[in-house]
Amino acid sequence: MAVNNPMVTDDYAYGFNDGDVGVLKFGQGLTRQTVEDISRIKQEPKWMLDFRLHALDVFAKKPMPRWGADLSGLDFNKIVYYVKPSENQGRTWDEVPQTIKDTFERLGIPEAERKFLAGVSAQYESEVVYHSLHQDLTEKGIIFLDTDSAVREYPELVREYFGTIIPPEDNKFAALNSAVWSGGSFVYIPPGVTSPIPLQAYFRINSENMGQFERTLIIADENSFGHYVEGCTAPTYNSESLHSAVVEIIVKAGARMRYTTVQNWASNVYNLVTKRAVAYRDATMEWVDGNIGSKKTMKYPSVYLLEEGARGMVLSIAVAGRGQHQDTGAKMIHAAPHTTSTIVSKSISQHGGKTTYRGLIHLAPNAEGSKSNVKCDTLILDDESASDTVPHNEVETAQAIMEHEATVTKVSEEQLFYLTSRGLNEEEATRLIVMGFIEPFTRELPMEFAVEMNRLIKFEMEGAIG
Amino acid sequence: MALSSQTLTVTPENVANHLRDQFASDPEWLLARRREAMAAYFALPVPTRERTAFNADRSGAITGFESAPVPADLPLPVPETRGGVLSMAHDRVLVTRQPAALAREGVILTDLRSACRMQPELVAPHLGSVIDAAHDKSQALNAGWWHNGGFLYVPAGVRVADPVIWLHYHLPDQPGFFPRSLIVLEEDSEVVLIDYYSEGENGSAPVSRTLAAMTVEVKLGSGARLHYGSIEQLSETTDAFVHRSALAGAHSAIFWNVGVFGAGVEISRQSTRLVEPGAENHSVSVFFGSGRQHHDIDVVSIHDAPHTVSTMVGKGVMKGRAQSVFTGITEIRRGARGSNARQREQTLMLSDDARADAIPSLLIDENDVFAAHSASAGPIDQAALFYLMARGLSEEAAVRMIVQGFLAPVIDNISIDDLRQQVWVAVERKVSE
Amino acid sequence: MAKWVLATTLDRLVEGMPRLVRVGGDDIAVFRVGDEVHAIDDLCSHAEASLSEGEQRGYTITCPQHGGKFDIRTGRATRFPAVSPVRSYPVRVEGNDVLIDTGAS
Repeated sequence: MAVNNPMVTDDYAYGFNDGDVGVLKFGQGLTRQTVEDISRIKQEPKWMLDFRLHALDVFAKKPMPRWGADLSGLDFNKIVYYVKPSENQGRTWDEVPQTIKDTFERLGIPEAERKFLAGVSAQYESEVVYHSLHQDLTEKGIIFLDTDSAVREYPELVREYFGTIIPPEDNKFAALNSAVWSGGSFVYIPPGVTSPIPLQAYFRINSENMGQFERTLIIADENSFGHYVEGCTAPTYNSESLHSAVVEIIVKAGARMRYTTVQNWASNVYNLVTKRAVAYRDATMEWVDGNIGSKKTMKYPSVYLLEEGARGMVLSIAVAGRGQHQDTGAKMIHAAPHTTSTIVSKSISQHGGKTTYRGLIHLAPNAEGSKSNVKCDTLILDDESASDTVPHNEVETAQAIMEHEATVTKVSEEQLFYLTSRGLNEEEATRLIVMGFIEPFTRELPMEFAVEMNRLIKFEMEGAIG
Repeated sequence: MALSSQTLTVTPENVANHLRDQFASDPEWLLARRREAMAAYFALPVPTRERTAFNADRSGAITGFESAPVPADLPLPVPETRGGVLSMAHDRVLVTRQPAALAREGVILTDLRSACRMQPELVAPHLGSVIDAAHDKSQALNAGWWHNGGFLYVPAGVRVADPVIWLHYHLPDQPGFFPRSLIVLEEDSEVVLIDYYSEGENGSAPVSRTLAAMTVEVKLGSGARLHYGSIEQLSETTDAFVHRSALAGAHSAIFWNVGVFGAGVEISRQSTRLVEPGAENHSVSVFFGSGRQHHDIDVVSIHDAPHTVSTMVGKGVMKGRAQSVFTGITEIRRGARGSNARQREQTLMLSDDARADAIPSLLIDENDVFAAHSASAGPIDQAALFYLMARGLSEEAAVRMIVQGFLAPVIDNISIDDLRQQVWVAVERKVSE
Repeated sequence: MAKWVLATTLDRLVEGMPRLVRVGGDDIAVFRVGDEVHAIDDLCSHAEASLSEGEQRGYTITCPQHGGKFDIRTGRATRFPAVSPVRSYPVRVEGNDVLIDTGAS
């Protein structure tokens, strides 16, 4: 891939220390001034400010998507686009919705963690844990820090890749993120290095990382291996209703990267995310994507298979309950010979929720010898709920194989009968069947996630969480 | 005998007069509907499709209304058959043959223009009741300017023994082609209908571009069964908008078998609404693209009642630089409990310059259902090709055999003998191109 | 086999303002850089979008829809989300006439 990043202008200068940043105010709405102030507070180099301002122009011009979840409730003028770290203490425990508190209780979340997840406390008292983990990584040359710091500490590395995979023009929300991004992770794994532990953003805490416009950039250099974990199964509460993240991942020749997400945003949140990875020769990219929360999610993790032997995988689940619409899926672009992709998607809708699987498999003219396999299954648990499956398959070569299968059903009568005749009540039996249904997903999660996931699904199915 | 046709320029101002001239023999109620449809046509924008770049320039102005009359003595082929036959070229009926036995049972087989004049009480309530022309520019055009087509009415309890055959010919010198047909089956009736659309060679010099807007409406009473087969072989200078739609009553069944082989650009929609319990839709679509053809096909099943069943099968073969988009839409609405829907789509890619898009969609609003779909696309199995060639077949013959093997499972299931043979003939022609 | 067609004229081409020409059923985007003329397929390889409506800077055209970029000399995709190349046509300038070879690619 080109070393010259066309997104970056040649000008480069520090110099935003003028003025007292404490004076800067961030209210609702987005203006050019907002963007300039964000950049100033972060003491960014000029190229990043230019990038943000260009993205702001693109955001203004781009139309809203005319497909997907219903975003008519989103009012861009009522959103606060940046919250200074020092101001987070403003929220009190009393302001946190009771449903969130109930869930914490049920899931057995420790007290300190609860306050952090609810945005009540800015720091999570596990800095000690973080620092010791950090030691292991540094020894191997692995860089793992928040993106803001990365821009300052590793400017050349960041400049080379930032915005090259997802340019601001890609879609309206990528443009928005590009203009006001804050927080997120930067990961670089050197050639041949295997990361000894999963890189969990969760431990690298400050409230900005749980913010709305994270920007993550991950580079797995040749023959390296890494596993990045984002989010947590416990519900994350944020009074701001728009979460629009961008994740760019580069997996170089022979490297392997897995990105696991379990999203459980509170039920007021619009979760609109652009996630894209590129995989080079014999590289492997795996997205393990769990969508449980939010009011509306639109997220389609994708892999561009650019060189021979590249492999892409997406394993995703979506659970939609009352008032929720999970519009999720995956995209695989085969742009080289002998590339393979697999998508397994499992969706569950209940209590009036709706899941939509939206996918794209594109086999370009030069993708000979490539193979793609997609399997989507949906369980609609009751007669209030709905599901759509809309896969797009584009085949531009005669030398590749594309296979797609999907089913939509309710819980099988036979399976229910089998289990109830063995002493379980109908609710327990249904839960067991649902756990079996999503097992291909939960078995790929790090253990503590899997445990929480099981507890969470159990809780969701009781109808206690809306 | 060659006849030159003049292209009319029809505008909102002069349309009423042109309609009166063109369709002088139509009853007033029909003319009124035509006027309304043309008003909608003028008001609606040119259609846009996500995957088909259709711009008005490509097809010439969308005012390709033919005006030259069609002679009565066109020597176009008529099949040997015991059943009823209707052969038409534009507004002209060439052959109409109704076996006496059918007439005795009250079956009406005639051209639609005549039916509007002679049996308005049978036609008027049904015509335009299945397809809404008010929101679709090409359907509005057909609803306003349709020159003729078939009308088939089968009374309650009548089972028609021999297949009915319709032939719609497009004459190469006509810039427009607007056939419209209506099929009404009363309770517990049954009939087999084969609907051919092709070019009628009459020695005239062809126009550079033809606009075709084709419509078929079907209404099935409870327990009625329709076996509908169709082969489209219009020229590659045709831009075709095709719309076939059925409303299926309780425990009725429709069996669609449609082969799309022609047209330069075709945007077609086949839609079946299962509006009462127990209704069934079984659809097979075969499409074969070659050269620079572009087929954009939607096949839709709407389950609007409990215990309804649909199976939709699509099989496509792509060669040359052809492109296809096959969108299967299964919609199960709330309340359609106990419904079962399956879709299967397979495309065989014979050339690297071809492109196939498959979009099987399931839109489900009811949980007590079973719905599944599958789609696949791939090349000829190289091992199979090698095997056949090693046994002495030329590459061309081997490819032909493999294509036949690919299509056989659906074509051989067509129970209508005549249609099955004709489909194989059409496939053979495409393979040899 | 080559098939040279008169696509447009030099005096109609302005650097930085791509021009859409329709030649025998194909939509082609024609660009000028100094005294050079380049021609590629107008349809973006990524989505249904017209490259001639995008922004041209030197030898790079940016698709207006999602920001993918192409090199107008070769048709090669140079930035995401575009990955597949678009067809590039040989161009000949004779006096004021701009000819494009639309023959077999």
